Amino acid sequence: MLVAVPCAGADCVLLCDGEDGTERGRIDVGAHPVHLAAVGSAVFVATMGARAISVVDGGAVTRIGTGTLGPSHFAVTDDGLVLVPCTGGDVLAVIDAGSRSLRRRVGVGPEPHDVAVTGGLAYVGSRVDGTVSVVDPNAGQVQRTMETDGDARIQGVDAGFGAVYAVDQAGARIVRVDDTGVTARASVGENPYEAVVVANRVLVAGRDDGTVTSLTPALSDPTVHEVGGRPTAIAAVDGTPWVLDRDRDRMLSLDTERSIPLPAPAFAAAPTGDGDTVVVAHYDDDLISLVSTADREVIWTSETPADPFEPLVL
Amino acid sequence: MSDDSPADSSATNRALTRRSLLTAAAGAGVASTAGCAGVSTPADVAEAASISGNVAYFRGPDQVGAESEIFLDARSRSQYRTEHVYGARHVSIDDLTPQTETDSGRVPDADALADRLGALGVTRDTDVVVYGSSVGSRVSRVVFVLEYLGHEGDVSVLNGGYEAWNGRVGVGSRSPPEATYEASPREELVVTRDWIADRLGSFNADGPGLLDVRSPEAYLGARKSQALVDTNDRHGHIPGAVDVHWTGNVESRMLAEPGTLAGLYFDSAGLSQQDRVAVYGQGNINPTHTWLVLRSLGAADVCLYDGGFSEWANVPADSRGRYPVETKTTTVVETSGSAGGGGDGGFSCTG
Repeated sequence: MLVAVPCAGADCVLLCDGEDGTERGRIDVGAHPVHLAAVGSAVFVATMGARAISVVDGGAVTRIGTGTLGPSHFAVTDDGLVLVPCTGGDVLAVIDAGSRSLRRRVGVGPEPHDVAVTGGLAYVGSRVDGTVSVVDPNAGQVQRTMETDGDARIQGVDAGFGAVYAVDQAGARIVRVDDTGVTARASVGENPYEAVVVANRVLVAGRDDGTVTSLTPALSDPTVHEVGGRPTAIAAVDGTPWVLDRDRDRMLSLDTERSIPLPAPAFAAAPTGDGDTVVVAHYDDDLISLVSTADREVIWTSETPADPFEPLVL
Repeated sequence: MSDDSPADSSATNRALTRRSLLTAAAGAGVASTAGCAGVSTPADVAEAASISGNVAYFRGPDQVGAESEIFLDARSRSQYRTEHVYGARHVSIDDLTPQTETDSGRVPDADALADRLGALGVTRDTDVVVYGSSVGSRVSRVVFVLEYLGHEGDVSVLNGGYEAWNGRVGVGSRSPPEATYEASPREELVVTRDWIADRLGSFNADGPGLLDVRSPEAYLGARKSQALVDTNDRHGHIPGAVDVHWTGNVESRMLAEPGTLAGLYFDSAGLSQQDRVAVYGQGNINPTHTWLVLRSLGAADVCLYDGGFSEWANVPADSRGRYPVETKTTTVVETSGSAGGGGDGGFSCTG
């Protein structure tokens, strides 16, 4: 198992051995890498401080220009298009994964940050005008633009249950959308960032009020878990939601309310896919850890270059 | 077509990916750049320009006034009527902004511009002195138009504006004798919307320079900045542009000290004195000031995007992908006042 970690403050991707955390190397990838996606045999790197993404394949790094600042996330369509919201601008870049080239840019709401794909359509949220654009990636056209709220700041957009959940950070709301429009809304905790679909629930952490709101797919029957601290993200490990805390050095099971001590507060995590283990990034402390949720222990911790983001486990 | 099952294919991909990453980490580095570049500010300009006091067009009142020169007064008509340089002809700035549509975007309407100059009695070989209330963008637009039309006579700017004039004055107005201005447009002085679109990702990196002369608030598309220009469908700037507000070119009624300006553009903003630089603003008047200043500082190849942000921001919605707008950057060069922006949660992925 190999763990790849984009280190935003060091402009590189760190590689670690999954067995013991030993560093296996670093790859210079460009300014401010924040997210990775495995596409075929390649790893795509969203370099948010550039007008390009990087692709690592065949032992080399290739850059693909987006023409617009701030590639921040990825979504991949079934037919091999890599979609990249450019959050410093107002476009969704459509990359042909096969030819490693920019196929086109599609104009969307300003400062698009996240993208999700469902039913062959891409959903892109705007941090500025609170809209969600529905894009046909192959046609390169916006099918419709949905208003969520005039003051909304859409951060995460996450697919699940045949729809997309858009999180309004400013309004502390979550909105369910599909290609027919907005189908449901619900309030969540303060300063939410993204939604996580686990089992048959939609979970949203409220970073500023220490809550995790659990909702049905229709955004009904809310249950508010008062977890305290600064819940930053939720990792689904073997079907169980674990709450990562940016202030406290622990991760908490939302199901059992039992916690696992960590060497430092956590920011992001990626399940290894190997049962009950998860790689945790300690962004503020330049560390990553491998954690066993079954044994409730940290298996190893390694130092990283500055600002490790969400790992990719291969 | 592969005979692998999906599971085999996935396992193969993962193995290839692991091997690829480890090989890359072993030092393969960047293999190609696919016509793109990072956006870090190219501020470390070791070869900062050397300016030896040559400010080209800008001349003091004691350096102008030859009988062969025609003065063009770029102030308002009422100011002109009240008092002007004796013999000066009033040029309305609105007459010098017409554009014509081309397939690649708006460009100056050379025929209309030539007609207007001819109506003022200016021919292509006339020596011209342009003045305004100070040395602002009305003046620079006149200079730009003359240069764009291929003017062959001398073109000067009265540094200090009309207040600096200590020669003979006139009042009222009279119609000058008309002439025919035989224009020979210098297309290299302008760029179009498509010229810019074709180079996105390269500006101020491995391609030409691109300079936005508007206020930092407009450049950043700060919240509520739509009140600054409510005719724009979108707010922000052309991707990759560096912002230096044009008003920093002027101190009182004079051109700012040339050494300071050189530091501003060739050091802080990281522009090259040798390479091509395109300048734009909201319309086609204010950016000509920076165009003129850069030429006066010795920049070899300065051109104007005449369509400006008013054209770029208002393209049809289905064309926005080709002509994107950015609202985030690290390359605002402060001349005076606040850089604006802020209050919008910043440019990060950490929330």
